[in-house]
Amino acid sequence: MAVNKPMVTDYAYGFNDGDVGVLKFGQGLTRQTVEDISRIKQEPKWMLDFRLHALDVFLNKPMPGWGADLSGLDFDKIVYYVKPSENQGRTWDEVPQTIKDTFERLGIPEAERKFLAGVSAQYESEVVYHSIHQDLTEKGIIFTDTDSALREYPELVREYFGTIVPPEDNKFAALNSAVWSGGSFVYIPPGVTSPIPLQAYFRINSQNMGQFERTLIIADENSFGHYVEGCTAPTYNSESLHSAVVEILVKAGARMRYTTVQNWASNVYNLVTKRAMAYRDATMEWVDGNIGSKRTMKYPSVYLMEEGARGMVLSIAVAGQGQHQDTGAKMIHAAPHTTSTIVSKSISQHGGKTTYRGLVHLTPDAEGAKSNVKCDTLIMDDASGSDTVPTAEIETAQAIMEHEATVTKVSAEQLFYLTSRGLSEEEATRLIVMGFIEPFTRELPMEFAVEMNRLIKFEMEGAIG
Amino acid sequence: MALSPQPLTITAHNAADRLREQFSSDPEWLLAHRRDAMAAYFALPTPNRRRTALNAGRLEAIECFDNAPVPADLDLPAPDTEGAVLGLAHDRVVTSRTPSQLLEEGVIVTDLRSACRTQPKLVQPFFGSVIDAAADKYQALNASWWHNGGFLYVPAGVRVAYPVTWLHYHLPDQPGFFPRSLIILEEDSEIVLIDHYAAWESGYSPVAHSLAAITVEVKLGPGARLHYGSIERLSGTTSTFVNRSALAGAHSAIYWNVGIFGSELEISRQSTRLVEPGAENHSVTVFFGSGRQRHDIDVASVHDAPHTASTMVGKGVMKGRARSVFTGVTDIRRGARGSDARQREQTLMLSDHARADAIPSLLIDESDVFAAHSASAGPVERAALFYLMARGLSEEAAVRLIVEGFLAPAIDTISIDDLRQQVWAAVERKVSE
Repeated sequence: MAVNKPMVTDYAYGFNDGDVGVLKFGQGLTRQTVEDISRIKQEPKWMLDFRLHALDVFLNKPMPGWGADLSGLDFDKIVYYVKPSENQGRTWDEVPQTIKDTFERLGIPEAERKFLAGVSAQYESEVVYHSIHQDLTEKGIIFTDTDSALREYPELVREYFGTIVPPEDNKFAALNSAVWSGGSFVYIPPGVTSPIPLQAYFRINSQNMGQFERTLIIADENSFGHYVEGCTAPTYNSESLHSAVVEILVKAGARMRYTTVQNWASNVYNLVTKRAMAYRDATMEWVDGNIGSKRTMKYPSVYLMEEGARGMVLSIAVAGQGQHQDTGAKMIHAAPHTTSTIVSKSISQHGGKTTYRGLVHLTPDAEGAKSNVKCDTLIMDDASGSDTVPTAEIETAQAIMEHEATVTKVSAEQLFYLTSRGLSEEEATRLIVMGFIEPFTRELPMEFAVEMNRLIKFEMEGAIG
Repeated sequence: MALSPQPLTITAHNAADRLREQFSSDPEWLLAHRRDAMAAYFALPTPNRRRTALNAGRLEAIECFDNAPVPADLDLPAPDTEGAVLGLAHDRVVTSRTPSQLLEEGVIVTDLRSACRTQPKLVQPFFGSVIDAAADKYQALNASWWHNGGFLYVPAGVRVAYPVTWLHYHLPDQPGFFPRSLIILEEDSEIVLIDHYAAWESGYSPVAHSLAAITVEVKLGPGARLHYGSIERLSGTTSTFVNRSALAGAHSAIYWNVGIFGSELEISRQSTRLVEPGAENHSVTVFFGSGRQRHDIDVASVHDAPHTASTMVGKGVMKGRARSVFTGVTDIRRGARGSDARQREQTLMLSDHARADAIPSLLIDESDVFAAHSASAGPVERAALFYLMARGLSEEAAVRLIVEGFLAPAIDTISIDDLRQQVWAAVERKVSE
């Protein structure tokens, strides 16, 4: 039997472990697939009903008529569920060696050794390794995978699950709702500050694998938390689908930050719905980096529900050969004196395309609201392109919206200045690009900032001449 | 006893006969163009505007083919200008005056129906070449049933000091209003054109709902410069579809100054294609919505050649329950190296019940460019209001002053004195409404 070997590319994380799945479904999606997933997980009936309803919504919704070209995506060729090992590892020693090797290469144990918080790494559909730092447990913080949370904290999950992103929201949210598996569940009790970032690492291994993690984060009143997620996938010749849903509730006075650095391989369709609701005087911050994937459609949003709520999106997108990063942000001001800030930085190179697509909606209730949006794009070569499509909807005369955007190339003056000081053109260009994305990298946790800089350097190679 | 005339019905089957009856003086090539467009009109669906719902049933209920003959004794006011004037009420030319200096230079200012008969060599190659008749249903409607409009031709090297003024009057008892104009500037020529669309209210009882489809095609030769100004003040019972498009040659420049004040609903599209190196597009759009008006405005610059430049400014004031959508499109195609494109959109919100959407988009397929846009929206600043009222102004007068201050940077760039004053007058009327 012919086996597709991983493509030879310069994608550093493009190794794969062979097929490690213990239980793997065939390709395609039917009612049976959904019922099987739910049965294997021994879910309560309400979740099965939720999944089946979502499946109907998914089947009846047309593909989006805008955004990135998804014509290469074939839902019948996707494997919707793989369970990589019989049991979820409780300690590092119990995790199978092949999977461990993968994590070893991803640097996760290193992060663990660095005394980071609980590391929850999603390897395909089940969370195989998960530990949580003693301090967090003592403070009452729950950090587990969503499947376990459904068993252990059924009431909490049922109260909030699907309330922020209902299956009806869009076709891919419906797909995720039907076949979701894994993802993180975080609950931070009132007044509690999580002293260290909560980290999860996602990774797709099998070919034609769909990954549908579902994350639910509840920051209770006056709490503070920072959730960090990274994604990589090996490189195969055929398409994979990553379609996550992230729901975040930030209650009165709380502050939540969600940081992602996404570096999917260049055959992954990354179609993600991320939404937060922020209540009175709460703050929600999305820090979102999109480097890999074939197509990304992702628009983190904040619904500013009560007076004084604040929302921020800080994002970068880097598109290389064959890639289209169609990303952006949405801010819905539904209450007085709410504020939002969006800063977006895009880089297109080697024929890649970036699109900033955003929405600021100042509803009639948004008296005294303020919104500020800034989008900047660097186009590195003649083969690459960029679209900026922001939308502002203003329904009140008592609020202020400001938007600015620029699209430029690396300026000849800057290059001349740097090369005249002895830098090569490549070094000079890299320096300019690093400076361009610095507002993003400075907000990352240190290990991520280091990884980010490494990735950018890697992506930049061959950008000159 | 006179019977009231039956409404004129047009179907795909009798369209050819009806067109020949209605436009019997048109040359054959034009009738053929009308017939093709009519077929497209029947075939095309009601346009789908993402942000403005169009009520197809309500639009199609307008008996827009059923205009009564325009009275012969119309006495329309002629503007006080030393330049050329062409006044039209639907198909009828009511005023036509061209200073002898213009005639001596070879400038042609006439109505487009006449030009199609008398100047086919000039008109035919360009007529319908800038805007595709099948672009959408209402473009097709105009292309098939346009009754008249202006034709302006400026020969190579002629730079004209006198402005040309076109007045297109809609008689409000007429359900259909379909002006169409063609402007051709040859190499290195320059002219000022003021192109007004207004309802002529006196003595007419307006129909409940009328339909306007307006087309303006512009062709600029190398080095040509056109200063185009237009104010739209159609009646509050008119649904209006406007399509203006220019094709700009090497190192030519077009300066659009467009004021949108009237209509119940207006879908306005303006597109400038910079197809040769060094071409420039400079556009200022001022819109002012009040009552329940809907203004959905697209302004586009397509950069399809190196070293092309564009600036697009949109300034809106929103009152009452008005809604507006302003979509700016900067489209820089591959190969348009060294292009420079800037957009600025600002909206002043005078009412909590109004709504303004802004979509300033940049579509860039070339690296060696500079493109930027900014957009903002906000209320009348309370501190400014307080400051003015503390100096004895009434709140109304203070708001008026602030609106003027907001629009001045856009309106005062209009270099044509007459037009600038007319835009200010239109703003005054809207503020006082």
